[in-house]
Amino acid sequence: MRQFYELLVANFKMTVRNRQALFWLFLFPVMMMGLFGIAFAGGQPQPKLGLVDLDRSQMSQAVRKGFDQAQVLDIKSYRALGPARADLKSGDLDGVVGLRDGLADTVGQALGAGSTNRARAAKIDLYFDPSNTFVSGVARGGVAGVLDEIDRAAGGAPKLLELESHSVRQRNFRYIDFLVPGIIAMTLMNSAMFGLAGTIVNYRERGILRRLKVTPQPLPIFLSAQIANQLLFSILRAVLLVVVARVFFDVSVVGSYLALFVVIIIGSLCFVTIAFTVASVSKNREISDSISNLITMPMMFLGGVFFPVESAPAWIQPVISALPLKYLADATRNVMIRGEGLEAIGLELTVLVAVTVVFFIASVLMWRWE
Amino acid sequence: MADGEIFGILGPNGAGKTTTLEMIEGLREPTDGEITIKGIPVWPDPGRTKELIGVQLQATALFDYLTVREMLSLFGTFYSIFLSNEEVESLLGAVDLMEKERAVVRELSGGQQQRLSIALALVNDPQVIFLDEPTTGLDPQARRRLWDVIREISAKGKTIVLTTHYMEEAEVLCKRVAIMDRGGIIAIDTPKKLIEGLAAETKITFQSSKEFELAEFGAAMGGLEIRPVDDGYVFYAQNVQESVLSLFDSAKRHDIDVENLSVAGANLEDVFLHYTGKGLRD
Repeated sequence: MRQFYELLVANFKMTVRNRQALFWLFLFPVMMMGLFGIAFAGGQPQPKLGLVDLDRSQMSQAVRKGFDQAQVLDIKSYRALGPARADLKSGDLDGVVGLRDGLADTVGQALGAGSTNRARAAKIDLYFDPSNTFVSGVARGGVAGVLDEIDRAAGGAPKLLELESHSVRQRNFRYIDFLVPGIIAMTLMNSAMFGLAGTIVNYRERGILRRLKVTPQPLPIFLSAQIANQLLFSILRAVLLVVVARVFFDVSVVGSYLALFVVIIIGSLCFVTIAFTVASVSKNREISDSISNLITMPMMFLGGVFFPVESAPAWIQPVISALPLKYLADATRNVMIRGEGLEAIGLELTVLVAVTVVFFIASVLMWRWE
Repeated sequence: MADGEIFGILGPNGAGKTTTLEMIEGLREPTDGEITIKGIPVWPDPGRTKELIGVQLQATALFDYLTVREMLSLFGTFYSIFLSNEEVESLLGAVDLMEKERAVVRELSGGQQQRLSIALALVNDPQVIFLDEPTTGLDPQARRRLWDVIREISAKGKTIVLTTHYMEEAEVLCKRVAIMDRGGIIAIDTPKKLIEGLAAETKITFQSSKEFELAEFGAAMGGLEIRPVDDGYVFYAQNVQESVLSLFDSAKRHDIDVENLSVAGANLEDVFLHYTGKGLRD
């Protein structure tokens, strides 16, 4: 135990004194977060709307068609109001448009009444969160535009469709909310794949492992201390990122810190085993870095760190669902931003643990001291 | 090997010096034979003997970002002994790194790193110390300084085994020397006796601008064996005066010019040449 502790302390000192490593470990993720956070602070340009058609008439069909043709809106159909509103609250939608039962009748009456004062326009409901100013503005403008378009196509007067706004309190998701957990997940991957794998290969290449082998010190203790150091810095870095996100971008951890801790440890261990496997098959640092690049690059862009994986085309989805980072990013995000507990991210954690077990076995089988 | 001696293994690159040490140190299992340290067999479980030995491997890199003192303390924890502050101080003194104790490894010069590497081989107060080519790659000044360090360690009663391909190093430092070539020991004795063992103790070298038949020329000089070396020819003799006169006499009769004649005492290099017919650096 004393040996383990001394090695951990030594590793800690070495990491802290290596300025270049510190840059990649801490400053780089923070810079990345800041850069992307500021660059994409505008949020999604195309609001996502749910459309609930309760009338199911030819008239309502025509209105739906009008929405489908609108370029500024991303429309998803729902059969009932409940699920649509739930998605709105959880932040998956920016607004919900409801076509009431009896829409066709009301429109018919309005048309029959002609331009008399008795004409009453049919109410189209729009549920949205007014505090989400940018998105709600675009959504509301978009919906109003679509209704005007339909009215104009019908002849202009009388006014057939009228917007009725309902305010809904929505959990407000901004791009930075999406980004911060993604960056945390990504740093767990990168620090293991470049920091740890590179260090181990370097120690082997330069004969440091051999030198340790002629001491009575069991080498597994040395490697455990190495892993413990990796986990320690994963936690430290996550703390830094959470604090910076909070102070500069007003992003707070909604879920429990304990759950977040568990996700970080499991995710970190997962990539530690992958890193050890890479270190086992790499003759030198150049090779291990190349393999690490090969592994991390696709994950960085397809693993849902910077952009939601749903926005990727359908044909690439099977590839995405094979990326460990996707599960880690999802788990981190669900805990941090959606406030879900460990039970809700069971699938993600199971996948990560399974990957860890597979690569643990692989690294033990392929491991070389020299 | 006897307790307290400095034992040298001398041989060219690829002679098997490092491999031999690796088997003793517990890094490489021998296919045959038995190795014991202080009566304890190294194989099949080298764990026990590792406590007894101190090792400096050929060209070992160390942790770049630890200080000299931290390295010593860390390596101390690998053994069952506990290194006190005074002991660390005395180790630092022994390898002449007192002023550098707070410097991190990457800031040390090659010679300083090598001395730290030797200090690390001493942290467990070992019975036997193995130094694999400790001075390779050092400048002459750093090499001489390291020799002093090794002598001081030996003076404290430690047994030291070192490999080298510098014959001068073996001659100056070692009490006994084993000469290795192609995986085997070809001679083993004190440097002095090895040199005396050569029938002729004086080395005579010369150059010539003309080609000539070596065997025939040697025969004419009374059956001497003359060998070509890098920059001329060499032969060994007991009676210098007679041999030199005979050389000039034969040269005159064969119409050969003799230049840059030199006469010197034989050394371990010549012993190696004698046994293997080639130079140490060939």
